[in-house]
Amino acid sequence: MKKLTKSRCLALFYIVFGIVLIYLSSQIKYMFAVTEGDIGPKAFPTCIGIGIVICGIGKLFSRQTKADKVFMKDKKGYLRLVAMFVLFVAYILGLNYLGYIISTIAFAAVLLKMLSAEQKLAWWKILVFAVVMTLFSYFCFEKLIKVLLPQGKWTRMVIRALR
Amino acid sequence: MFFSTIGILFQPANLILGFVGVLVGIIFGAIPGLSGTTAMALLLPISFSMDSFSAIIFLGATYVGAVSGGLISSILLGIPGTTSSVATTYDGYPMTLKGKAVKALGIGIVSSFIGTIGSVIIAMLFCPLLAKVALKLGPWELFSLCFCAIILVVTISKGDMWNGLIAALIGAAISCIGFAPIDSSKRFSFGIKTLLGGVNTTGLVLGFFALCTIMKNYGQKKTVNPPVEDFKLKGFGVSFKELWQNKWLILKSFFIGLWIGFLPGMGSGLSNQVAYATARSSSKHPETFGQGNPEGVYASEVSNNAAVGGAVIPTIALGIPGDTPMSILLGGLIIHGLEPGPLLMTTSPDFVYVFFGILILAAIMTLFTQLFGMRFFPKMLKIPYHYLFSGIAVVCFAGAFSTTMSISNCGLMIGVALLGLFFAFAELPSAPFILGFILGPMLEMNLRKGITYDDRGFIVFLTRPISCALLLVAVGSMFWPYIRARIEAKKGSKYQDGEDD
Repeated sequence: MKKLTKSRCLALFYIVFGIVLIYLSSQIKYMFAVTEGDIGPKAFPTCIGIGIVICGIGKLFSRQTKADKVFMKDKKGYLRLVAMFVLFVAYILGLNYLGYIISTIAFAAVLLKMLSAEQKLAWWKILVFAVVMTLFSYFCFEKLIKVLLPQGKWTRMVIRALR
Repeated sequence: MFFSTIGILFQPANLILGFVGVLVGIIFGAIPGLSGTTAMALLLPISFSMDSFSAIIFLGATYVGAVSGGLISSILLGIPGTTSSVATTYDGYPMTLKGKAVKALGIGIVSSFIGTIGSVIIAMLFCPLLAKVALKLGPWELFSLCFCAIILVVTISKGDMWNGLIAALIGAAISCIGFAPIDSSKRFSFGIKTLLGGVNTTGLVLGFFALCTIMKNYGQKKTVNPPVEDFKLKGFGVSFKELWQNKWLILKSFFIGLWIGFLPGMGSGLSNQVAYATARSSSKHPETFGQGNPEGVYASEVSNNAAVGGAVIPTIALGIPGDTPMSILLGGLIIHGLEPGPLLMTTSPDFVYVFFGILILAAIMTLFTQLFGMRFFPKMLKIPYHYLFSGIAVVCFAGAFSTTMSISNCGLMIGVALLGLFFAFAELPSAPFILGFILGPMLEMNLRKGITYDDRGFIVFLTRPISCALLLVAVGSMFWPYIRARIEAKKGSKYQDGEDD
């Protein structure tokens, strides 16, 4: 029995992914009747799925030439990734509900704090950066490029109530 | 004709407009999330108030500036400003990590100039002739070209070829999300409205390169910028001798860029990857690619700018845009009362020559603007990492939002960043993934068209000479590394036998 290395685990994952893709492709519903000779919208993704399965099998039986590299040095590394992911998701929610200015100030401040953990920046430096960066990007996108940045559902409600 | 063109181009107002266009283009190209397409879309309404010559000067200069500007963030930050400079990151950024940022910028800037100037001159001289060739190419040739390009890039993947193929297939699978080409059937949207429009390219590139890098570096506690060498910049930062040493590489990359650029729908996003793959596979030291080999920067930057002239050919001669910014330009021409197509050269030759003229002039302006800026661009890396990348993250989110005017694109960017982390974990290469994603729709559309247009089914791809040749190149390049290894092993054993005797 061959050793179940990271590479082989990934190969099995690709095979499963390919099979799922083939199944999902078979579920695609036609928008219009396919013209004569056309292979239809299912064919291409099905071919991709088959390709991934073949590559997965190929990888499973290929010679393991090099030692697996380390992705993160320790478990804390993975926790840091999760923390960053949570911050990004929170920012998107903030954009949706609080709008660009408030959520970007908070996001830039937290991100700077996280990235400068070893330097231990003074809080006022973090705040100044967050405010300046937000206003600068707001001015560039909203005023110069004329992109209407999100106002936020709650912010809009407050503005309406104040009016 | 010549003097009247020069007269129009060198009017002070037009010169200023050209310079402003170049500057805006470089800035938009350099900022991750913005691109030449965004710049031209924004400037198009402004150009309505101008006369047709000034408008074309303004838009043409912006286009040239934006294609070149992408190299700045690719080299300094490892984040491609535009899809046309994705391959520049592969060796440009490692050069920066080694403290050779100025050298990489010098190579990139000069290569961009060579690519643009050469391709525009060829476009100017052979526009009608090349346009006729482009017309003769059908979906069969375009499919085979896309397929060949993907396989070429897969063959340069680090590690085993299976990983490269899987990466390309995942990219193509992601490109299937949304409406299918030709019949608009809904695919893999899982009832989510945002996914119906497909995955946005800007969001994908930003998530895959920028957000993923920020997350990975934070996880690995790499929060220091690469060193910047102390330099006294002389001339272009790259000597004529070095250029001459790389003449064949430059020439090869140039023709790859020109060829891909003039095929409708293709462009600099594809040419840089194909030229990079070709440069690596033909190099004497392919193992040094991806580790800061200047040849990688030469190949990518010459080819993506050579696609400028290439893209102009079908736009002017046939009225078919060579790439996305060209389609905006085409819209601008029509608004100004011009009819791009075969008759444009005879009805408005002065206009066509002014257009070619501004592309050349803009290339010169871009060269000098970037050479001037080269003294200051690397200083960006002296900004502490935490400030620089916090700012980049903010710009990325705003940029992703601005391309679709939807917060969901920011969500998609985060999803792609997670995929990028998976790629790093699984050691899958990024180049085939990006190319698979960009070319997926074209591959499918041309495959379906090719089969529908001919009763012979799949065999037709092998009966057309160009299509067949491209497919053979693809298959050959896939097996070439194994064949070469066998030949070298045989040579090695013969040599050893000889020594033993």
